[in-house]
Amino acid sequence: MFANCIQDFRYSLRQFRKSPGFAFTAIAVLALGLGANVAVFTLIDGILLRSLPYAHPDRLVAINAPSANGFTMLLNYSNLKQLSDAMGSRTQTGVMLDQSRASVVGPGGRLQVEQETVSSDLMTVLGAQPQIGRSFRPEENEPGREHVLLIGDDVWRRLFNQDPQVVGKSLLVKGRSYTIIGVMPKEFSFPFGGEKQVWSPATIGPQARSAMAGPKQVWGTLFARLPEGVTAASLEADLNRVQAQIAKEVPDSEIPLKLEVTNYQQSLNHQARKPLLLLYMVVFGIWALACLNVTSLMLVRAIGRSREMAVRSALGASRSRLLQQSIVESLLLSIAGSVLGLLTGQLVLKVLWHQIERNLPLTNEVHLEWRVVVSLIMLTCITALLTGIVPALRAARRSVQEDLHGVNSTASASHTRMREGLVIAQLALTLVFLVGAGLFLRTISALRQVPLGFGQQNVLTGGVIVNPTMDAADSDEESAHGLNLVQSAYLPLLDRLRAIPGVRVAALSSVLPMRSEFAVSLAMTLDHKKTAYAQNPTADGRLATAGLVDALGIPMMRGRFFAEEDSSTAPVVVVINEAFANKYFAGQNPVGHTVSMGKGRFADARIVGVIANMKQTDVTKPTKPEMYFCLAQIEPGTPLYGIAKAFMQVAIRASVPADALRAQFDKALHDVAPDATTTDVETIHEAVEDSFGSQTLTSRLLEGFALLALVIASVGLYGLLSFTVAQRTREIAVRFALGAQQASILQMVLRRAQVLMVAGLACGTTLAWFAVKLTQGYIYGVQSHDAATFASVIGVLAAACFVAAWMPARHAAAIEPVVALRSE
Amino acid sequence: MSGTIIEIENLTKVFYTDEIETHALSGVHLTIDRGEYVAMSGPSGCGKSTLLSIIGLLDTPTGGRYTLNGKEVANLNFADRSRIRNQEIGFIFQSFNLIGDLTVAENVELPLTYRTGMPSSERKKKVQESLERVNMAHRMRHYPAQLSGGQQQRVAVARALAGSPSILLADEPTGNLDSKNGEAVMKLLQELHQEGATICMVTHDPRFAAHAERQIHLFDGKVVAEGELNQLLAEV
Repeated sequence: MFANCIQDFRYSLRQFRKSPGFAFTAIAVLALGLGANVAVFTLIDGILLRSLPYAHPDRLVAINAPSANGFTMLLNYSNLKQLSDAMGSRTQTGVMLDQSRASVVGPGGRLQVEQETVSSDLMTVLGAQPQIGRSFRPEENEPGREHVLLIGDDVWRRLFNQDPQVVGKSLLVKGRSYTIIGVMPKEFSFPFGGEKQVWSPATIGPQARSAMAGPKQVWGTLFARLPEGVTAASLEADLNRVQAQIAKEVPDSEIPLKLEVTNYQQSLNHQARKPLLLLYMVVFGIWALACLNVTSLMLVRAIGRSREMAVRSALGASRSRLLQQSIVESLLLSIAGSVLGLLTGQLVLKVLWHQIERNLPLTNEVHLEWRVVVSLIMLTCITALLTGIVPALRAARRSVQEDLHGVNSTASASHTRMREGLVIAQLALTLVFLVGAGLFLRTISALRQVPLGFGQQNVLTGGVIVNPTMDAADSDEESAHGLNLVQSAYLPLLDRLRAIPGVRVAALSSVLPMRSEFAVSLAMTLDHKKTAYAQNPTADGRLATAGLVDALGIPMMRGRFFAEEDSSTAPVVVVINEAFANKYFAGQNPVGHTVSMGKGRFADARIVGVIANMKQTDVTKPTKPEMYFCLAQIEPGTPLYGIAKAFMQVAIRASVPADALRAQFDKALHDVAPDATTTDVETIHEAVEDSFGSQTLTSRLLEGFALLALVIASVGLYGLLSFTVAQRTREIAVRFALGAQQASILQMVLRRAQVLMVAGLACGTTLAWFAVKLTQGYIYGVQSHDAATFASVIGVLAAACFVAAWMPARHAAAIEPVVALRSE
Repeated sequence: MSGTIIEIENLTKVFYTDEIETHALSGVHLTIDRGEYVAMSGPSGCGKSTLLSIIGLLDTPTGGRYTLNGKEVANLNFADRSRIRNQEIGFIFQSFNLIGDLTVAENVELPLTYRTGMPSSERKKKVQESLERVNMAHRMRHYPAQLSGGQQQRVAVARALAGSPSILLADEPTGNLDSKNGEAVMKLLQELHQEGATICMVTHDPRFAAHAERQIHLFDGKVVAEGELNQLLAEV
């Protein structure tokens, strides 16, 4: 058996060498089909299937409080502690309190790290132990004992050159000295997927432990590991009951009533699940298309080798032996196709990596893994079986006598029907892909047509982290020391940016459209009218400097935007957007009305202008009410100073190219704050394109796959018609002998193609009619059954069919009858 | 109606393959009169099939003159040759060359479908007549694969007759048949000749060549007399 297989392998290789065109086509088609599968499965494996590197990752849950506007609200530590106590001792819990970036210096140089402030028991919940040193102790959340640090493996390697004696050394983070107590394992990160992370215990004093309201509250997210027998749903129900009870007991607490318990892994990848599964369905279709195509090729080849098979049979080959030979051939082709497909798939990922990274979560976990290789091996075997079985069965069922005597060397009607059926199936599948790609193309086009409310030309944007020396909890201390980040860093930075040659306008804002990184919901009173807290007007709070509307080209609807005279000593002014004005000042002029937030100067802020609505995070969603505060009037102790300290963004409208401006931007920032770093420096146009998210990625991939399908199906039709013409050469010669004109032969071949095309288009249209339901929720500005898309796609496919059919038809019309008949 | 149908003068045909030049026909002179039954014979490679192809306008000569029904046809373009072939010539092939996907009636009708302006009813009538003439009308709805070799060749004869051609060209019409069926086909050709058909048949079998009223012998691309042929064969 084994020797036979080896012999068949050798023979197949010889056959492929003899027919390089066939071998190349089959391997290329299979490589495309398998490669597309490998590429998408690599993403699915990395993002959806790979278990997180924690103990019992399937039981790790996050407890969140979803808000009405789609954001997740943090809970105060006291509330979290009560919930944790309610879960009982069987459930381990831990809290993540804060995340911030900091620039640190070690023997290996300077590094921008992400500092995660956690409760000391979080590492226990995650089941994570440091590779060097120890984890946190329970008392290390107490004030004065919290200056210890766990560092990530990448930080240890890059900052400390893998120093095994790193434990006990000090690291200065935001001006505070921390003692390193351990190094976490290489694969560990939390939040998952983070890089260059360090973890420190949060300062949780006695007041923070019990504060249910007021300024002493500290905020965080609770994580828990479910004990055996407890599900996320049952825990969620229990916690919601407990939360309702807590809310009753502490009526002033304003704690959220609705809690959600989500598997941690799902909370990270749930947005990617649907687009990835949609893409997998598409690549599965591409694979099916490739199989259909190669099966047709194999069948054609089997027909051409009927006499050879008959001779083998006459010489004593059993049917199973003939089957084996055919399967071995298809296996060889599939193996070659899968190797090439593996390389193609990885190449596709590399080419699209920028898009993938932008639009999908957990992409740093995406790489070729054993699961991908195993799935490819399985798919290769299935491919070999599917593509080899039909020609093998044909070979086994043929009449040896007929084939030996060449009585019927042409294909039988049933085999012709089968080949034609395969081509119809290929055309139908292609039409489905083309319709999908068409709908996504229309979606991207529609998204680009949505009025954004700001200009996209010549505007460079970028995030700024100035790396303050103290964290946000220390505003009072900062104030006492006279430190004001706005005055010391942001406003000088703005002056430097405005001085760059070619810069027309530069402005700072906490949120820029399509780059929103911090969403802060504010509750306020208007014109000092007292209402119940729940009925207070709310808006997304933003900070901005003078010049923002000019930098972004935002129209002013009423009043004015911030000006240079709106300084820290001037009366507090705010600007609202149209959505706010329409909601809370319907039929009135909002300019001159007052807004109250807390006490002091901000209890009497005056509205000075209304700007037009602009799209913020998603062009498909309506704009929410917004309120802008003047950055120059923000100082330690004022309500929004925390936002200013955390992150600001720059918008620069200039007449010089964006690339030249990037370097100048970095230099200006470095001059003002040497430790500061920039994030995502890009033009506003790039930010808008990136905001289309998975729709752009899906569209690009679908376009690529649809083009691939079009090529495969066209090659399939061309192959079938070429083969048919070759098979019918004698018949065509006879027709010529009987007086047929070239045009009539041309028509004859094209008519056959037309029949196949119409059948393929009809089946494909029906299939697509139902398949487009999968795109619902992804497409925008176009109906899933859009007639124009269907019509264009049918036109494109029909044109491709015509081109594919024209060449064999021309060949048929050029047959020399005397040559064809003489060859008989 | 009498007179010359085919007139060939100094016809040559040279095949060029890479560096080899093969002279298939070297100055053939031939005339065939209306109503004549001519058999062409000769050893393999003598050029008889090439000559038949040129007579049937399936191929063009390299040199010389060829007149069919008084019209010079040696250098016509593809379309004109197709049209004349359809109207003036009926082919009978050694391997029948019926189209497997078409019924007997459709095969016979095929040359008529290439004629413009012939109504369907007239085509059907001619098909019926042709098939009746070869005693195959009862099989008109059958497919070629359902017929014996002899029956297939009779259908091929009917197809050749259907267009009422000026001349029937038969290329080894008995080559794929057993002796009984071969004799039956020869008898059919004999009958057609007696009814006035002009037939030009290529055969290497002297028994069947004897059915013709005139025999032409070819040797090395030239028409030779019978006595001369025997002498040449003896020399070879």
